[in-house]
Amino acid sequence: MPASVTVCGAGLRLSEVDDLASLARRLRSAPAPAEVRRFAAPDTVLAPVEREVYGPVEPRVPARAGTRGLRSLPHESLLALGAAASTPGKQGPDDTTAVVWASSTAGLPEYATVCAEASTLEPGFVAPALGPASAHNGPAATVSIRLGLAGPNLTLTGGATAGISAIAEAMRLIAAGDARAALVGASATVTRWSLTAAQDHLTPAEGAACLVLDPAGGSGIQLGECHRTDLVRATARVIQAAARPQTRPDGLVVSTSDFGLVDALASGQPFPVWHVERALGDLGAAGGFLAVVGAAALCAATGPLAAPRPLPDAGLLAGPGLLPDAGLLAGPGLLPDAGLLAGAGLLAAPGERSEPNPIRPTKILALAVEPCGSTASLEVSSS
Amino acid sequence: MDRDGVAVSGVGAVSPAGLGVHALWRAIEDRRVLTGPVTRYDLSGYPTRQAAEVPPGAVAALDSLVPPHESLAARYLAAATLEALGDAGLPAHRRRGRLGLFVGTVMGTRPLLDRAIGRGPLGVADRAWARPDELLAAVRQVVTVDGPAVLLAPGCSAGNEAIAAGAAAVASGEVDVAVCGGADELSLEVFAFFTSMRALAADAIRPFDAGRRGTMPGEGAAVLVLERAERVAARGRKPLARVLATASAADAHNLTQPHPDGAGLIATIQTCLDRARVEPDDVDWVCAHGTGTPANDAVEARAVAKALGGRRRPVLSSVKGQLGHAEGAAAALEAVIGVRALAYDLVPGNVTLVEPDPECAGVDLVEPAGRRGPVRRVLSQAYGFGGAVCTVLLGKGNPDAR
Repeated sequence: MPASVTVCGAGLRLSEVDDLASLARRLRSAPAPAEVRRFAAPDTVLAPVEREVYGPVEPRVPARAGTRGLRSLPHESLLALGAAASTPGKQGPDDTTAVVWASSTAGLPEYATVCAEASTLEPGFVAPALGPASAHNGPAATVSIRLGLAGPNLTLTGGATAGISAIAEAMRLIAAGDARAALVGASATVTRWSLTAAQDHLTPAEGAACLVLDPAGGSGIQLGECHRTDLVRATARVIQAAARPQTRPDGLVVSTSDFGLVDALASGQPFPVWHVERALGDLGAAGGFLAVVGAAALCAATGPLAAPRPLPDAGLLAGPGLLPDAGLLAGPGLLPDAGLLAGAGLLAAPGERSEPNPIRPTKILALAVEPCGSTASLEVSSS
Repeated sequence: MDRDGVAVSGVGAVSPAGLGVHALWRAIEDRRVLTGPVTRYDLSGYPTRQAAEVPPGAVAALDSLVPPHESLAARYLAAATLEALGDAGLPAHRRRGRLGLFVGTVMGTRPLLDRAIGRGPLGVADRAWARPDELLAAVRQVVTVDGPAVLLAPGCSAGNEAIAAGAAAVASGEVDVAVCGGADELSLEVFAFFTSMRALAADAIRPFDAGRRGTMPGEGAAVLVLERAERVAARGRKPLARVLATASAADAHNLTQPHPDGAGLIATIQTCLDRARVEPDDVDWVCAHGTGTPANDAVEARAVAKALGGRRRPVLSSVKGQLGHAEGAAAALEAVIGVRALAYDLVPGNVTLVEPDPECAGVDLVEPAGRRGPVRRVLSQAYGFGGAVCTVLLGKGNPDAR
């Protein structure tokens, strides 16, 4: 695996989040109110339910992805396509870019619908188009086909660690030479079907996010080596990193369904800890990925204040709304960790433009933890 | 990354031949066709009712091997993993070195929902069908996993992608032991939509045959234990095979149809040859994806002929005529068969082949009886709906035999 890769762009389709700046704000803020929606599953024994969720999210698929046939695509594939096509990238066919995607829910409603149709229709009358979309790989396949990306095409599924593992596998494909760059993303949808497995203490959420990764070489937002291990070793890593100023991160973004674990990780730490599921809701495998995107957003938020030189990819990140407005970030109440950052010389007083800090880049750790104890972590930094 | 040093130290399988790699290889050697009438589901009313099931006796025997779990695929995977670790001489718990789990699947635990298919509204009994991570639950109960636990679902290339990811993790030092494989169970949902797509064969899967009519679902699990060759030798054991190269690409063409030129497949084959520094004629057996569908086989044969054009036509056969198409388990089962082919110097035949398709004339289709002779390298390719392609090149365990 390469030691690090550079983030060259991002695309987001999340509830009440338009760009990296608003994602950073959302992570730092109190949980937003969720909307109560009604979910039904016709032709099944499942009773309709009403539940607070973060969503719906409109895919807003850019013209780059084409317009024909979009209506026949599953909603989650459209969200993925919307996020992926909104990233900067080469136009036209490209056999050097990998697509790596993580999702716990892709194909779930299609699978269930085929089952419901098989229960109620004569054999052979199940909608044939639904079947191929009922596997997990619909988003990755759709992004690859629609954007003409013929590099490796991987889908990861499972819990929150899958989102960070997707980045690890993309870095592996780049290191091995299977791809020169990677479009890595994750997505989730909320349906009556996904709610059968939803946890009561979490707010289900839908959305998609993706990052464009290039091998390291430039400055900007960097993703470091991924560590995948059990909870004991992962916790030890966090504690050891926090104990030494040289390795201490400036913050920790955690994706887990266990609120108590987040409290335990935050206890006594000299840096802030943000919780993806608390801020954005339960996105399954996409939660781990959003821990990384969130860390990148937090780095980008402090990057322009701390970076000694303009980001080389500033043009890419400076697309509508991707770079935060310094005034917004410095506004009252938006940075609960302001004291810490100010103490570290990373944040200027409200309304005051900071002097670049050439010494200390921002470094935030992203961590995903599953109930079984499996973990994945990755260091995100701005240089 | 030194892939050359990644060895296969153990294998395990649950297949329509029953429990264990021995049963699987015996079925291959004996040329048994394991597709037949489905007993697990009521398929009355379906025009085609055949698939390749793990026999009921073997399913019952799982009770003495692995913990209970609603998902058969999860139990198949656990049983194959225990067999493979035992074959490698590695304990399931209290090992030296870090172990990672790399598993490919297509449908995972979703077939649990199939059991509610009947007459009238669909019942939904449990939660595990909507939780993909449950596929690894049974393995976690019987094996200590202290490294990555990665569940790959890129379509029917899943088993090979798991091998590729695990081999890279071993080569990079992320893990000492990679348990790589694939698992899927028979899915009535797949059967239903394949029926609608008219993609099912009525009598037998006949890969590369002029009269091929379609495929049949299969099921099972297969696992390969990967370690660095020096580590295997240090334990006083001999590698069963080596992972010489892996390569991944995509067709980026169509959700259900392969690229008409086999672009992704050609790219992965050529990359594997380049990485292993071998010539096309050095490949002794191409273990084809060979689904038996009219759409696939001619495209695949042309692509292989183009990518492996040498002094002789590439030697090619598909075992799906015997095993059905086990989706996420298919490529892993084929890799295990590849390991055995290397060990026993046998190229399995196209057992159900009657009349070779003239469109496949660019490859040397192995006769049903198979061929005895030196097998030094096996190229195994896999791809599927969505367009992802992954190819794995295996070599003999003893590098001097190259």
